[in-house]
Amino acid sequence: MKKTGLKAFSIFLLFLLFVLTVSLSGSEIFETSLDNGLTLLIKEDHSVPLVAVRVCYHVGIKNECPGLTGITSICEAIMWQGTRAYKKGEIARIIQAGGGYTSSFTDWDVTHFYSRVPSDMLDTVLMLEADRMAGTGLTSEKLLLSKDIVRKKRLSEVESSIYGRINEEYFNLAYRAHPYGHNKYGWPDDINRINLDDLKKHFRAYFQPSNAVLVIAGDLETEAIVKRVTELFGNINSRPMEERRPISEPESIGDRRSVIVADIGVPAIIMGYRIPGISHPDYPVLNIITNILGTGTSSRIYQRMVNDEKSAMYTDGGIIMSEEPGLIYFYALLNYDSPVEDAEKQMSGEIKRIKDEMITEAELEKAKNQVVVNYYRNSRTLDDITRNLGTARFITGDVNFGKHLVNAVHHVSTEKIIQTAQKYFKNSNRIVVVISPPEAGDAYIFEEDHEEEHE
Amino acid sequence: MICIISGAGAYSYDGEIVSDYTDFSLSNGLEVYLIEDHRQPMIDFIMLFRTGSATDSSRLSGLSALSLTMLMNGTENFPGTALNNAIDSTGGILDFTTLRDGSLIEGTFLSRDFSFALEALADMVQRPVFTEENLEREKRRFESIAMQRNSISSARLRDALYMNNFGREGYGLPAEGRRAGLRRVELDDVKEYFTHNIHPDNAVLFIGGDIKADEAKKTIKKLFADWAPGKDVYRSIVDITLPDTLEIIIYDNPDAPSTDFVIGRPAVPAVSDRAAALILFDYILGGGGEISRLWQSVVVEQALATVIQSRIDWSRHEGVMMISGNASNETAADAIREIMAVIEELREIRVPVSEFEDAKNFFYGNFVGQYETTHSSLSMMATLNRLGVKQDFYPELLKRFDQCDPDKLRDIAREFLNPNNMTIVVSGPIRKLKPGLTGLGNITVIGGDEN
Repeated sequence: MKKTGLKAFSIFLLFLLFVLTVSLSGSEIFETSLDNGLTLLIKEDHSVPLVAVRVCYHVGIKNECPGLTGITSICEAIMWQGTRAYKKGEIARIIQAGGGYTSSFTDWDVTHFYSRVPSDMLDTVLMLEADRMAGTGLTSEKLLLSKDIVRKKRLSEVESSIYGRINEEYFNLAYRAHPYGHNKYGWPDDINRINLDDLKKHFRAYFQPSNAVLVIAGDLETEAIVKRVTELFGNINSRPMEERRPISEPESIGDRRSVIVADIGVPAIIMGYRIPGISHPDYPVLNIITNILGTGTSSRIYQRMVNDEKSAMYTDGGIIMSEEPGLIYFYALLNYDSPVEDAEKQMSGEIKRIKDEMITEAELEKAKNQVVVNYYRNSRTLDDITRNLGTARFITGDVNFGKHLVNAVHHVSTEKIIQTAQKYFKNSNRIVVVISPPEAGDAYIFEEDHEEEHE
Repeated sequence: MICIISGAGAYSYDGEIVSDYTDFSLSNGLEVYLIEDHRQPMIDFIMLFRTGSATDSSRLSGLSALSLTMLMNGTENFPGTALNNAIDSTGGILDFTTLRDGSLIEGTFLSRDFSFALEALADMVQRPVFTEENLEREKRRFESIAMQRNSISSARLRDALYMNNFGREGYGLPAEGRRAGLRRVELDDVKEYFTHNIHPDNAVLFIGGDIKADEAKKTIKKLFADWAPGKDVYRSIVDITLPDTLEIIIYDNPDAPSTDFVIGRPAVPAVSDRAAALILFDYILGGGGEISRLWQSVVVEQALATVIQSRIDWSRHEGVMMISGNASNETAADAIREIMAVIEELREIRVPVSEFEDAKNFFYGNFVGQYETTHSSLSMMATLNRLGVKQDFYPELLKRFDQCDPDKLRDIAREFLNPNNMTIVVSGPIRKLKPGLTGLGNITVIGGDEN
């Protein structure tokens, strides 16, 4: 059941969750590379007269050093400030006037520019994206405008949103060394400090063809599109890429905890554990564990906390799918009068149980079915397809990652569940954030509540 | 090679509905819409009841949402948590949503579980088991949901806007209910609600995916033909109060890091012949994202707000036009004044033909996207049914766009953007807001210390 409040809380964690999938049936994926290193992925689908186009750059939060946090988001914003051929706002106007939509986002590992348009607009979009890749000028004026945009997004999505702040706190606690610990909009002082030289260095290193994947899906003819992409993108210069030195997250000697006093109407708890990146062999097993413990109203934590103990109004779980160290997490929005300490014990109790006792075959089968359904749900639209292909290509190297994941979970056994749970569900690997309501009298009281109290 | 593109040409629409569907009715009144789509081994369904939270009194606010959720708490064939367990075991997903003018049960399953999914649905709507224990648990959950919702500024402002325009009953209440009302709901109320509203002649089933239409029809008839028709449904309470002076409600939130605001007024039902012009106008005003008038003026040129958009909450009863946004505490009052200035300009001046044509072309081209997948097609069909319009609404809408022109949009602006009929609801520090908003309209301050 989804409610506005649940949606808000769910979204701040669930926006972290995406499934990398490709369609198990239908046409295959065509892959090629241009001479300048640009990778092209194409999937034909003639069921509707639409196409989706996505340019992915292999750069995200993980590429940001201390002092330069938020720089990727600034680069993303700059690419909307006008190009050689199109003034600011023109790209969006053209696409929308053609019946399409267009947007962009930066995440931990990849930055996306995407559009979905009627199929007769494909050539237009390709021309726009080629010009964006080749013709985004970097000026002081654009830098100032872009920094302002990023500051405003941070104000709106993080500082003005208690859920945004909780999200930031959680990641900051989970990652002490790794860049995943900071928000994609960066720290305010870093945004203020970033200068044109910083920008040029970051932009030129990462926003170029040899660091990009162009993904096109929909009502198109592959041969003609390959030719056209080569014409439009083939002459864009590339620069040598520096090899990235991954940053590991050091182990803790105890769990990391934070108590946030915040008025979200009810108490809440988030409990998570650090896990490896998505390409690790344990990933399919961790996916299954997430479902058993946290997915659906028959999941262990939901049954215990919502149905049996009645301490929570809603629970859920998820797994961050990242190239470098990820997270598995479970959260509970508690009933308004539930003590947080009891809720934490209940959640911990279920996590301990999966380490100590074999799960049933029925539970395992259920969790596998959930993976399959999730796979299909998240690969329905052309947008889903381009997002999944572009991300999978970069963070796993395998465009068929989704299909392989579904196959891999079929081989997960009950023994492997216990072994994996024991490996990762240790206190020294745990991050706990408790959200506690303010003291009575400090909370903001809505007028209706005043009236209701007097009825 | 770089080509300069001046803009997409007008998109011609030939009037066909993209999704092909079969429709039929059972003798008990249940309407069924069915789409075959074999692109994925999945099925989706939406069962729509044409009764929503607009039927809730303030005394039992939340009754409709609570009653709908109770359907998930056990049936004659799946007692207790057996239903949840059975659904989850297939990997399937079930969602319950209550809106003001309708209630929905939505499901997504693998197509191999089609029969089971429909059996579960049939059991829920025909043979639910309501217990005191489950009701008490759900009431407590819903109270918590109401409290959590209350902590979200944007939700609170929307609730206040609705209350100011539609009163404290039915349509003016949030669909999830209020705590006092939820506490009063008893088991007999839930049973009465079920008897009056959850029956086939108040329901429509939309189903689609990897199914054979003939076989699906047989299964639906087998499972739902004996579902007994019901009594009269609960009546929606829609009490419109249109202000005759601009009203400003300020919720004092002294520690807020920024200010949220909502500006709105009642619009028209979706069936109205003015809907087409209103849709175009809304796109130009603020629905068109970063190319819209409000974004360009308030966010980009004046840098007074961080985000802003307009939208229309469509309904079978009365829609609501609203502009919502967020701004820094220092600039929020100026942002609101600038919004009113944009509104005034649109009431006086015709939009340029190019801007008007761009708006039309967006909808012409975007039409197909509404029916991209089975799920989106079913959602669109259910929405149109809930709004009380025909399934050819979108093609007809596009034809009606051809009858619009910038003069008509200006007439719409003059009628619907009259500041005297609007309500502004703001949440932020009163010390920074009130001085900047004084003189704009009648101000009411709620909470905190306005000194």
